[in-house]
Amino acid sequence: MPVDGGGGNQRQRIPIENVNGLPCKSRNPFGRSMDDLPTIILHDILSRLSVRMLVRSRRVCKSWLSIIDDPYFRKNLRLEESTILGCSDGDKETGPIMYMIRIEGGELKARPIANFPELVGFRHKCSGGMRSCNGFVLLGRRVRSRIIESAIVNPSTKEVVRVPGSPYQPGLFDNLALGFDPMTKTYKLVQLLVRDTLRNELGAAIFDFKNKCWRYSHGPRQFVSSNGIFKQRTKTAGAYVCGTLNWISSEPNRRSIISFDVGNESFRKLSTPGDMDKRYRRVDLIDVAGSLALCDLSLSFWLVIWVLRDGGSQGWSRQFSIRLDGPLCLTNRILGTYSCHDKVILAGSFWTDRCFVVHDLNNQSFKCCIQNGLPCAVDLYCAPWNLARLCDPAA
Amino acid sequence: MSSKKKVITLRSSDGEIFEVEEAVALEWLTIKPLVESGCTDAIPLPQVTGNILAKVIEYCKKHIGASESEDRKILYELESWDADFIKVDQGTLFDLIRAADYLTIKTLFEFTCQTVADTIKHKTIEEVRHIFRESNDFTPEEEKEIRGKSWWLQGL
Repeated sequence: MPVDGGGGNQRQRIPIENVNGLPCKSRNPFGRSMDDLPTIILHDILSRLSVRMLVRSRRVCKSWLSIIDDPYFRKNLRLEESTILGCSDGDKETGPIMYMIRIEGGELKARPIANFPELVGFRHKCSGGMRSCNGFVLLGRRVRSRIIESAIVNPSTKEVVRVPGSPYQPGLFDNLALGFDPMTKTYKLVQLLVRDTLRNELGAAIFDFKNKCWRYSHGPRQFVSSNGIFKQRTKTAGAYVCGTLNWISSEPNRRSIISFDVGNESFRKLSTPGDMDKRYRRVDLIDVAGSLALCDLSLSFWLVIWVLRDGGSQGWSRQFSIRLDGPLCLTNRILGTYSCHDKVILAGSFWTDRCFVVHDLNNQSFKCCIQNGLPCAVDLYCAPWNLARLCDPAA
Repeated sequence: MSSKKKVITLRSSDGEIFEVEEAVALEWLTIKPLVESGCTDAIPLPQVTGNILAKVIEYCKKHIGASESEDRKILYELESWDADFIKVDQGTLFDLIRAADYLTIKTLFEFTCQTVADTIKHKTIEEVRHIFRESNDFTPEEEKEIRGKSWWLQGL
């Protein structure tokens, strides 16, 4: 009977290939290493790590790198951790810079995590603010207010995918949005179009990442008049919420929300909450716990958040009314929900500085109101960390 | 089927004989069909050594019934017992994971894997390599490529 003082296993070990001239794994006195664990167990252990730790763990050794970069592994990650990311346009050397933002001791602290020198000239700004989908950030390069090229970046992996401008209509950046179809697990870059030549047909130009080409998807005619969403500068960019992309159509007196299903590529018109303030000047669409929500800042001292439950079957419910005090009433934009969906981040302009406010919906309190350590050009958005690859069919 | 305290006999890879209650063995999905079929011989477990099997049985005995308890005190006690239980060397911990995987004991597998994951947290790459006795098999060029051209990854 073999006796092992270390409490271990005396099975014959299969020699592991000698890499890089180092002694074999069996060099350690107990003859064990992580390699002894079947890959499936190592998968399980690594999938419990935070994304930051995963990004770092890619450097441990080749076998860890291949596990973490494996699409199957990434698909099964339980990434519940969401975070606040920031983006600034940077300068001619750095290109766009991504920041990771944390709440520390009542202040927001920003730390740069990635920059993209190859994307100098690309900007994240559009009138409706930065939009993202599952952690991917959409950037655009304009020439005379036309988007001639877009780039989608993943700040966690530094992946960059460039997309040529849509051939259909020189569009405003506002009408471009990145969507995700949860059924087929594919991403689509969607540009909302109204084609005068086709009797005001509302359609979508869709960039297919697999075939790397733009195509056009027809939609309903006479759905909205063309001077609605496009000829006017709107305050909203397409918001990605649970398989749909949503825009506010700003036709005079006929405000509605245009919802585009990324999966079956169909349009839906949603009415806005009935008793909402008719002035409707400052509104934004966000994602609250997987439901579409409309933030109404039309009343000077109140922020009202309406939530569309169960895909619209229950109608709008008025979820939160938040009183804005002091400089908060100058806040003009809502950035999104963050962390377990219980916090809303507001961004506003205060003289030349940007002011960020985190409102905790659970205990109805403002957590912080600062711009400490943030370059003033930074824009925030909330997104989960994502290690997926855009072009990866399996991801 | 009627006797409540039916005992199952197990034989480890090094020939040690263990006796466990049927209720405990039924939690081990790998041998569950054997137990249910009313096997009376010693069940051989060629992938688990005696000392590891003893630990596994110790864990399962403690946890049977207790995990579902609603009583906070019991759960708290169980938690501190778990913390003591898992104070073992790295090799034993990996052996426990392997045994839990082999015997398909979900609770033990979850617990041990989470323990390893927690060990890795807040460790530097070098420490992780040391703990798991992995060697850096990247060439300097490859390492540079993984790190990325700029400074950002070092900050993470």
